Amino acid sequence: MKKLLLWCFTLLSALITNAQDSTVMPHKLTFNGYIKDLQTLTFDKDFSDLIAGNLIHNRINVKWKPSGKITGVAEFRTRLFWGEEVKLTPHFTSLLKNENEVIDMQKIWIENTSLILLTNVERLYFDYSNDKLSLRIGRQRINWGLTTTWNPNDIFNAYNFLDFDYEERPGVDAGKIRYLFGNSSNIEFAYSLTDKKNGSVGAVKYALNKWNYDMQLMAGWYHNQMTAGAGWAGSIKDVGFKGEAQYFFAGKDSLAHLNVALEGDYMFKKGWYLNLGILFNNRGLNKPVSNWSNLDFVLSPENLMPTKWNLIVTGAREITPLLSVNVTVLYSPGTNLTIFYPSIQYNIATNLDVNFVWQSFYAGQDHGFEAVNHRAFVRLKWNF
Amino acid sequence: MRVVAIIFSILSFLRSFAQDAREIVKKADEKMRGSTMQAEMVIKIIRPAWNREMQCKIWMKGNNLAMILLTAPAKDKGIVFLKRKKEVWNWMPVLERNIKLPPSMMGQSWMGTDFTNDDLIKESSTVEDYDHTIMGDTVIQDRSCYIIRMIPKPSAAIIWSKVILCIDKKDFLELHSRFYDDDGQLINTMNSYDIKLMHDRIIPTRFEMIPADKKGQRTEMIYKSMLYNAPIDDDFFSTEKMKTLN
Repeated sequence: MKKLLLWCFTLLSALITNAQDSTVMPHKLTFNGYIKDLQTLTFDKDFSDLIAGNLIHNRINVKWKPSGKITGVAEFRTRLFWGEEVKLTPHFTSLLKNENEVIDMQKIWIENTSLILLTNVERLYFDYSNDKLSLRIGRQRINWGLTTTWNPNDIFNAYNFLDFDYEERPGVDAGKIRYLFGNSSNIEFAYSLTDKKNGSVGAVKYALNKWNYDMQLMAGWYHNQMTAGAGWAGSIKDVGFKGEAQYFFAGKDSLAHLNVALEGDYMFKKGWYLNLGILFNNRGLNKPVSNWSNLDFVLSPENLMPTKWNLIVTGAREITPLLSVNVTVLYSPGTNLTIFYPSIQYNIATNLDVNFVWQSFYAGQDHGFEAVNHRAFVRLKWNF
Repeated sequence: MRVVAIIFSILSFLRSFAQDAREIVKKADEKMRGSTMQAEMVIKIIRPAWNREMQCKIWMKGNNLAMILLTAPAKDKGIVFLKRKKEVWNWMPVLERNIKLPPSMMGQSWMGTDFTNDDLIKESSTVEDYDHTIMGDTVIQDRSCYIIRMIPKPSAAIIWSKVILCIDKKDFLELHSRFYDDDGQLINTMNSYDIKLMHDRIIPTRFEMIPADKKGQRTEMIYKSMLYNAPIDDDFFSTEKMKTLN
């Protein structure tokens, strides 16, 4: 692991040195990233207890394009956590690992009771593409989703929509090959490995653009279950209309499972944007739960939400080109799980943004409908 | 001798009116767009208290195909918009995802500027989607111009009720435009400046869009480079190509 990281950094520095005198082909190598500072306050249900968390988060993306057909990508994510959250959360470091990654490319530089510094290689792939064929091998993200909040078709790498600070989302160690039939249809096969037993995922996807709709059909296996799915993105008059459905067939020791997501979005005059979504998870909870604190949002492609029916409404408005406001409300009938999730984004300078984010969780519990907890975030992000 | 002068002046008067309004708009439109165009531009959002600048590359072919790649600032670099007929996609390099945008996005502000999506990657055609009438003459930047009124055809999905254009008589340059809403209120004014030779033709290279009801607010669009009529394959305007632009 150490060797690999060292190799990556050496390669990186070698490439950067090269970039300085390769003014002739400035696009051969690109380099970008950001530094973010995230302050988190987690309150209990009646604001009597408070845990503070601190995170400095750096990402460095390197793209190397020696020719029009070949691309090499390496992306590094380094995070420094400190404070109460680290102290009070048992096994904090183990929670930071992406379980889908088969090759360990995570380096923990510092780990003590109240401070953790670690780097993970988030992407490391080689890509070859010509007019018809594209091949990508290595750690990558396989994005098969079409909708916004929940992506049942995204069977390779699920993510938690509440984790707003992880825009890039996790990757997998995989191979992907795609063949284009023309401008409007293509076929893709992807295969990913994890270090778990029967942990591989493989599927074929056929995508087509017709009648002003993007459509896709897919079939394959997810661990030891067969799976098939379909998705679309189009519009009804001026309203965007998208959806995805994924079915997991019953296996030797697993039950059949269905996830369906539907979504509509519309841009009103004066910059108001509205997005409505529904997720149906046939194995999700549909009755009040006695202790929500025990329920976590560790999600999988089979289980995009712990609850059965989920309705989400997002309203966004750009007040000025610098200031935008977003309010999301999620409601799950049956459990009465409700998440209130507003955020404000302000652009302080060209590449400097500040975000204020709030997440309040409520649910039907033993004493009726009440708060579970609340989280407040302040984030400063500088892009380079 | 005087008779000849009068005949000539009448003739020229007639000739200028024989220049059908639609033809004038068509010439101005063809001049600015060519059969294809590739441009690099700077967009400046100007507000009383602050300014922001971004840069992009743009490719267009006819009314149906357009692609925009943002090249600056750093946080937006690599974002791509593709328009194919009525469909619009947005490639987000950070998410490595292509997001299909609802058609209702087209009439709205593009990236916080005073330009709409439609202003940038024209879905509507100034020639086909309007009825045109010559209203008179004026002089702008020492150039004699036609004043043309354009009323959208009932079948066209256009947010304006009326557009007034001033087009230079000699070089067919659109130097001034006013956009009116359903109540006849002036919403936006566009002025064109810095007439220069760009590639094979003389065109204005700086455009400012000024919203009527917001003091001190405007957006400027400045062409840095321009290439007209270079062949671009239709396949270039594809969701696959979007991902590989940088």
